[in-house]
Amino acid sequence: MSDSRDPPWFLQRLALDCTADQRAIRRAYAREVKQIDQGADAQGFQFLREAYETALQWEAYQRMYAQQDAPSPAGAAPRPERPESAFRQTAFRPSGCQRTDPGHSNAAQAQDRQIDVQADPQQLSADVFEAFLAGCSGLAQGRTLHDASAWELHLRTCMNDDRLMNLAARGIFEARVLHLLAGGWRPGNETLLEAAADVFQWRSDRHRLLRFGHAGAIVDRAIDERSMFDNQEHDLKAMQRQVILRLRELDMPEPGQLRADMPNVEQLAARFPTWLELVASMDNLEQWRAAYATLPAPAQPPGYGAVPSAWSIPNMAHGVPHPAGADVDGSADGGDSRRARPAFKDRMKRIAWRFALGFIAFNAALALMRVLTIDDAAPGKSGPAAVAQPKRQPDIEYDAHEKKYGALRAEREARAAREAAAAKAPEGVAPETPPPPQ
Amino acid sequence: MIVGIDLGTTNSLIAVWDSGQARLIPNSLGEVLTPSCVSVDDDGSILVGRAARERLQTHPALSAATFKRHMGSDKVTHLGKRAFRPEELSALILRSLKDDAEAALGRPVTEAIITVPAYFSDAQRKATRAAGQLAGLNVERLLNEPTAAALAYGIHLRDAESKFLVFDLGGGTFDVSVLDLFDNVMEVRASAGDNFLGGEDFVGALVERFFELNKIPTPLKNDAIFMQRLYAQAELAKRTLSSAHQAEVRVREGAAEYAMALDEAALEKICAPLLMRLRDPVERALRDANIPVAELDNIVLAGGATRMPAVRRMVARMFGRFPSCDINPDEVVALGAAVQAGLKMNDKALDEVVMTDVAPYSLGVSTSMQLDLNHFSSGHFDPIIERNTVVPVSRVKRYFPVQDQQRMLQIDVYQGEARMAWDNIKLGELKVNLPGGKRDDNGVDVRFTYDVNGLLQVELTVLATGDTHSLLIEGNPGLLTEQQIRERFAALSTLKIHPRDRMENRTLLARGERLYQQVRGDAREHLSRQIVRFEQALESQDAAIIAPAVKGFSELLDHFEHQNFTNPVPFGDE
Repeated sequence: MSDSRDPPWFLQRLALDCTADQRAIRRAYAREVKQIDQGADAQGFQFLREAYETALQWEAYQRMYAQQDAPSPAGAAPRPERPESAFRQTAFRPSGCQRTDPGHSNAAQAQDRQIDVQADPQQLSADVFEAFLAGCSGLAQGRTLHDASAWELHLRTCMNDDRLMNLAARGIFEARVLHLLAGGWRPGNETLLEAAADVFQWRSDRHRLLRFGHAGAIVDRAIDERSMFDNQEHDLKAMQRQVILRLRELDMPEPGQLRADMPNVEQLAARFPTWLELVASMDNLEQWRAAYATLPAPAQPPGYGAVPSAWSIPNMAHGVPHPAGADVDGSADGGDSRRARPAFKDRMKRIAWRFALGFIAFNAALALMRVLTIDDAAPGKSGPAAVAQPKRQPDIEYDAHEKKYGALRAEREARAAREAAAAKAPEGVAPETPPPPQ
Repeated sequence: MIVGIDLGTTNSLIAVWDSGQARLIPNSLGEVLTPSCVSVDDDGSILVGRAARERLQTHPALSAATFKRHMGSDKVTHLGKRAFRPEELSALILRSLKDDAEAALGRPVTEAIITVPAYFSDAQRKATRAAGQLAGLNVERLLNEPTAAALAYGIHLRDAESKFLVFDLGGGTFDVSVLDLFDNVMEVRASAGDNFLGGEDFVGALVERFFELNKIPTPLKNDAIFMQRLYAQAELAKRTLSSAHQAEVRVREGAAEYAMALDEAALEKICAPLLMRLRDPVERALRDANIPVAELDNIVLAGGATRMPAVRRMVARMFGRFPSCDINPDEVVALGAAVQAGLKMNDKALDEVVMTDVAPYSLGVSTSMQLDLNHFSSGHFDPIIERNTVVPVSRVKRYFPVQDQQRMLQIDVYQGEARMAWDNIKLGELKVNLPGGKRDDNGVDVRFTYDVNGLLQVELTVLATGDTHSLLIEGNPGLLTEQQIRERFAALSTLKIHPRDRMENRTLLARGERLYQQVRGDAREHLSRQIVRFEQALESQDAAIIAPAVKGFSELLDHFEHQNFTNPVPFGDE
């Protein structure tokens, strides 16, 4: 870097030039801060702090940049093994949920009195995580699939394991669970997300996910979107719930159903893109979209032109009680055929336009997001009414699911990574965070 | 002269910065720990400290303790005829400490630095400052307790470079701070805590277990005398286990006698749920400080409850190493407050030392998030000052109404970390009128200013009109206004305080009364006669009579104290 250029303001404040390293920055700050009375000159102090913090970030960035050019040291950042393979591996083990390692738990008990402060945190957390995964395969089958308390209990039991007494091991375990969740939907993912958000305080502590880098940003966004989902009016939520359940099923819905569901799916995808990826199958979403595009154009419902916005009146699905007086579009009795058919092209155009509008609006929302609360027509006015877990359960064999979606996983993961990067924190305040603690 | 005061849940201390070092000032009994207890004596005068603590067991309706836990609320404690707010009870402690310091220094003390748990909220800090004012002290600064501990610890290695964690488990509160020390700059990187976790809770857990184990009828929990005795016994057992392997809690009630044998393992099991709660703040502080466990050079223990072996073991297991034990955990906070007093007085010995602290909570407002064009999701917390920002700090953020032509904007101020505003603590609200017009032209700047004492100021500016509004976070039921403080100061000044020079004798008597209640049989008769004799000696007002009487009576009480009350050794001769 050329020294002839003027150094940036933060270095000037510290009387440094562009060759300054971390040590020099700290020393310069220490020198300057002794000249300021924090109580009397709060502004001057704050300016110095800003210069100092910016300089440290700048220096860290320079260092990282320099390191990227150099070959990276092998195995510098041990990442948790890929969650996919880990989950699958244990999921297929027949007695998975019963699996315990008597040798290890005895050892743990023996350690109880005599503290072992030397154990390797990586190994400790890996052992507990394996037991955790085994339990998950059990929970994802049958009745407990939607039972958040069962998942929470399982997670808490793991967190209270003696092996996770070590703080470093706890941090690694949390990172593993997080990567598992951020890897995309699998049966039970939504319930696990809720349980983990409580157990790890991801909901009650906004900061906690920041240190987990990219995966942390995905889950962070998903949790925010989940609160926004909960904030919607009850009927809309109930309907969206049903759609999400169908999005998890293996079979493509009937054309009538697909036609009814698709606008709702797109609304969900526009409003809650990150959360939806974690709680429903994105492969299905792609297939639905493809199938929907080939559907013959639907009949125009009577009085369609009077509907102000297709977004605001939810389409009701099969088997869901209609709110009294709601104008139901695409009702269960196959009403499609009775309607006049507008030009297919027009219809597609309109849909495309709406999607574009929705997409733009959502992105605008991300930018504008923090607009003050006042009394308005916000759908969340009724408060955060708890969403009752639907009674209906998708009847999925975990193995069958694995076979069908296994091949598409890698692709989806890559996509999730791309898209979540786009849907990151609205104000770009999340700083570059280090990889999970080692 | 500025004094440093550790106003604790269980004990309070006062210290000064004197000829280049921090020094603790003993009270009239010659002890540096003054129990944070207040009692109204039989003659209506106020007793503070050990005498009041003795009277907790004999006169529970006239005595109060652990009121620090109610700071920032409007919970009133009735002692006899008079009702006291937590600030007032704290003020009586502060006044007693102030008197001790004035006696020791030989000059008036008017300025103080008072320590508060780092995790104390805005209301709790304001209540503490009010307590200082009620005691006639100008509170120069509210200093976070773990920061004080770090100052006391770090001042000896100021030229070194070090990263360390302060683990401060006091009587009622738990705080963790992570510090980075370099070039004489002591920088608090992060603080976290639990305002309702302390040594008193461990005693409470023992008491619960005692009831359960002995199947004691629950109504006995309403028997104040029984409960105070049980608490004192449980506290004693807890302390005993810090040095011995076995201890016993034994309490008699009428004909029944209840007992519980304890060892280290049993204590650890009973307290396990509390020990688990120590983890969260530690994890959070380390995360926020962005310092891995392995980079910490030391773990500094502060607060009396860190003497418990169970707590030390928990610390060792969490950090994978044993903590540093070279400073007295009871005294380190007060000593640190004195160091801060030295800094404040620009003492030469501390010329090159600077300490910076952080805001322990995030502070922000409630906002709406836009879903699509006309749909909003309301109640989302948007921080203006993020937690663990170095203070003092002032930050501004601009907000817009959700609709065109909106005439009014309501700003709700919250403190906390949750995503949804209603899960955080509401500090206050402010409504501003808007001129109307397009929403994009109708912005409002919200400025939060957080000072070194951890107190918040909010200022709003309506951009279109230039109007500014300040939010006074007062009128909260837990807070006194300046006017109320003046009135209460006057009212407190009329209270008769037990004379300082007679405190030692009064304390001995209170202790005698407490022991009288505990012992049975011949010993009780004997003690009763000795109490009367001691009172007569005091009434003589003759130093030549009083001095030997004090010595004799004090030895007698020590003897009783170390007896197993249940099988008292009969006293043959007198």
